[in-house]
Amino acid sequence: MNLFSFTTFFAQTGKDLGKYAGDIAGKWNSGDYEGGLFFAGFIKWLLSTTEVNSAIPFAGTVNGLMTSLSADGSIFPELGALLITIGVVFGFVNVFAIGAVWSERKVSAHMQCRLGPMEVGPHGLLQTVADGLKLLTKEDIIPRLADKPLFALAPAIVFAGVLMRFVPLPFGDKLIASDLDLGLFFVAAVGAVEVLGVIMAGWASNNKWSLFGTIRTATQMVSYEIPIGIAFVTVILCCGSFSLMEIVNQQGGMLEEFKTTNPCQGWIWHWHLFRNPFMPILAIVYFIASLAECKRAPFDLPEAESELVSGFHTEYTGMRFALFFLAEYAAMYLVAAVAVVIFLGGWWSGIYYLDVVGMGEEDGFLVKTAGVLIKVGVFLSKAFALVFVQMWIRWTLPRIRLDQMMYVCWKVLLPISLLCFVGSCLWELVSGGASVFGFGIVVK
Amino acid sequence: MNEAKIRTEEMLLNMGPQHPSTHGVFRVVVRTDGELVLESESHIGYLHRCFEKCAEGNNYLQVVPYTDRMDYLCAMMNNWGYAAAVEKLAGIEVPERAEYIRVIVAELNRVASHLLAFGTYGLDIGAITPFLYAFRDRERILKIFEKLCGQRLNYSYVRVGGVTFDMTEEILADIEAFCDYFDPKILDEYDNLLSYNGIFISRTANVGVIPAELAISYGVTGPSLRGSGVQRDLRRDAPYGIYDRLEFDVPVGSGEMGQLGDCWDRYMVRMREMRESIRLVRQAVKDIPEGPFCDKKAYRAVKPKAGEVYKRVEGARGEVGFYIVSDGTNIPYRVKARAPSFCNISILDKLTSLSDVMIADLVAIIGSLDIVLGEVDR
Amino acid sequence: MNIFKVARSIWIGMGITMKYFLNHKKTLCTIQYPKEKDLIPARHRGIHYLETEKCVMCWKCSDICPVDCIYIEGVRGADGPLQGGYRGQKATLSKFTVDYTVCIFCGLCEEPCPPKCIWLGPEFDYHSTDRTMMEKNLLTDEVYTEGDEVFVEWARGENDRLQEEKKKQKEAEKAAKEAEKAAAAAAEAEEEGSDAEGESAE
Repeated sequence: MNLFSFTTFFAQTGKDLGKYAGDIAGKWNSGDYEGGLFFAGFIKWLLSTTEVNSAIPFAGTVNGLMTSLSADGSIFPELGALLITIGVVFGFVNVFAIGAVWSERKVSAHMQCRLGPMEVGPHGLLQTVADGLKLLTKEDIIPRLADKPLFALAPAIVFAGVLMRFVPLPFGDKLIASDLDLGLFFVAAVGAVEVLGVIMAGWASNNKWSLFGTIRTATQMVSYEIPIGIAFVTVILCCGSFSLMEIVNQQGGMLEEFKTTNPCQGWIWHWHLFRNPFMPILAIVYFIASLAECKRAPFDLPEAESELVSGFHTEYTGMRFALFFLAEYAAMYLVAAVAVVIFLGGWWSGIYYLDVVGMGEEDGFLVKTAGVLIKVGVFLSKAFALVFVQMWIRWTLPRIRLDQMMYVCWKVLLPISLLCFVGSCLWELVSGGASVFGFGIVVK
Repeated sequence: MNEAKIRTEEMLLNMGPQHPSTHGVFRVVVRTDGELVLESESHIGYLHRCFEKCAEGNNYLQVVPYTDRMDYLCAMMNNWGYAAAVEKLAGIEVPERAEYIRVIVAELNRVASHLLAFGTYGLDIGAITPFLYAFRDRERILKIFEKLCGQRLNYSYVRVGGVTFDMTEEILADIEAFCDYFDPKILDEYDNLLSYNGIFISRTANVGVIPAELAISYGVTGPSLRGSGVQRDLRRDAPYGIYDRLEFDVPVGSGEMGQLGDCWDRYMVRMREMRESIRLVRQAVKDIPEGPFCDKKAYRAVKPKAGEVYKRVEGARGEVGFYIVSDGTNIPYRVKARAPSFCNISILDKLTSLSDVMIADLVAIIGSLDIVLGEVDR
Repeated sequence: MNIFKVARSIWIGMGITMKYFLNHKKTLCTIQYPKEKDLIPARHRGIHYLETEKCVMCWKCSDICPVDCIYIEGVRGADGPLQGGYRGQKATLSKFTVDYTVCIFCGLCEEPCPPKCIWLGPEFDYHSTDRTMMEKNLLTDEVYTEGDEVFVEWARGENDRLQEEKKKQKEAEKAAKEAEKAAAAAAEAEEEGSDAEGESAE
């Protein structure tokens, strides 16, 4: 479409949105803010569950500043908290990507009898920073016959798709951007945006090899969402809730009613991994399917380095490529963290005495902070261990061919996951929610 | 392929001279229906360096560095083929120690070449780590060669009348140490890591099956031919040097993991050949006699009588042949080199029409044929 | 290929990489190049070196070179009239260079040398940013510069001039000798004539 119609479209949309926002704000002001999905209504709905400001000391100050700055002080009372939340999540993703790239290079180097980056910074710690700076200063090349709007938009959509999935993901006890009631469902559904971005990238590159990468990606990512979805459904069935915090809390052995009054009673056998004999199989199915979702080896056909130089992101340079790269590492962390949440106990370490630190009512600020830090540490170490396993698999195994990949998905993983689903249902019916060891307390 | 006849669902894809998996500057124009290859057309000649023309202007000794650079991965065998051809033409006798040294370096070079084939094949299939391990071991061999003759890749070591430098005790000790390090442990590790890996087997078994008659009719030789079950090895069937005194087996494909003559068979023939080569090296190192390492007068003034000769040796990729025509002077009239990779790669276009080949399989087939473009184009 | 065999083979493969990962200090096989360097063996074929005093200017190394990258100019004889240049025991060299954009490091030039004065040394990291800097002057062990080229051209001119002089001198000597001979013959003829005259007078 030409520039004129583009502008008028946006102007009209802007006017419509403004009017809609006004309506929503009006509704919110009068206390009626259900269903609003734009501007004030959405933000307020999001903020009604934000609890980061309880763990971060400066949120209150920023919050007060923002409140005093806004016109009537009623529309954005917790904007500060929102900004801090976004900053934390985005910052974590970036810092993790930097660390993950470095550790991937080091892990691969040590497995291959060599040293990896050693020049920039001690043991090459600043190598990724140097690489990032290099990518920032690169010339922005768009192929002449490429579809420019799609080409430019694709990395943003991929990165946004991955970043959105971080919204309901916890980092520790009550450290979550937004404890959505539809947490797990949101994670699965929003991930489809990433597929769209990848398809756009491959198509807009005007390159037959990129097109190959795209076609492979489209089939792969969409197919492997099914076993993942079935794994999610099984866990949701056993827990009775989509919310990720709820799922983790149940692995702490906490009863719904006593969540705020009693300390946890969680030991390692309360984890969903040991809940019934089908769960370990399901966990492995989920892990394999998540490797395919992240386009990691052995499922890295979309970016098969030895066949299609880089697959769908061959034509991308500079910061556009960096966005794809960041998205890949963010997705790696995401699937690992989701696996930790739904199978491996989240932030519960499995040792009762460690979990109980800071949970009591009369504990001082230091002990509470220590408890929070322990939980964050436990969660992150489990997630990083799974990310290490992903790297380990990548550097060991060769690549699967396209038809074999489809065979694995539809004829191996899907039947196994369905069997596990049915088996879990029966187990829940028969055992009434007892775990494998027969004496865990996992109650809906 | 006439472009006007191409249907719009088909795609004309250019696996161009610059591609990560074509093992050199090799171009394949592929007509595909999605991922399925319907027809392929190979184009070579991107690495042609006029070796045969250069040989017509240089005397017999000056041609030796050119033969190195044909198949640069097994240069010793190329040198040996050329030297053996000139020796046959001029009637030069080679001292026994030189023959033993030739066997040692040729077999070590075969191991090095197969290691590279193994590493890069893993890389084509997607396993990056075996490549690094293969190069670590290849580095040890190249260090031995550097001690021996001063270069790591283009040796010009085996010359008419013998070899250039003598093999000292230190180098023999190094070679024995390498054999002890390499033979059972490392090769078993490679088998566990890649050869018997389920994903690798599913990528290479039943892919690119070359029936034995087809291979013979296209002139395929070397491990690619032996992978199809044909018992043919020049070291045993037409022995040269001292191969008739040494004991070794010739591994042949047997359809262990799929059909006979698939990529896995060819790959496994190479892995097993490495063990046999180490066996040969051990025998030669044990029995090497004392004596002169070269007939110096002969190679300083090589001037064969007028005539022609064709001599072939078993290179790492197949039969390396040299056809030399002499007119009585010290400059050859014509040197023709028969390169095994040239004949091996000619079967690619036939394979794509023979069975269902996907793009990923095409990469696997080219890797399993183990071509070196320096040899294909000379 | 049933699923258990595949899983088992994958597990074994992962065990191998984990073993390397845990023992990475012992299995390390690379060195940090510019800081740590490897031992170069004695027979390594790198950049050429020449022992100028021994060179007899036989041109054998230049002839055997398959790619013709050795350029030699000079005068045979150490006590020749050419001023400047590098006086060895047997020859005075004005130019001895190897062009490294052409050299293939085959080592064929080492053997035919009668006094064994050219050899390939251990240096392999010879590099430059410019193609004109890739010719090494073996007489100075430095890059072959324009100053050297000027000297070589002067030496050529000087050589030619000296050859011309020598030729003229030789011709002059020959002419002088001829003149002497002619004078001697004429003197003899006169003597004979006078003897004959003397005889006829008596």
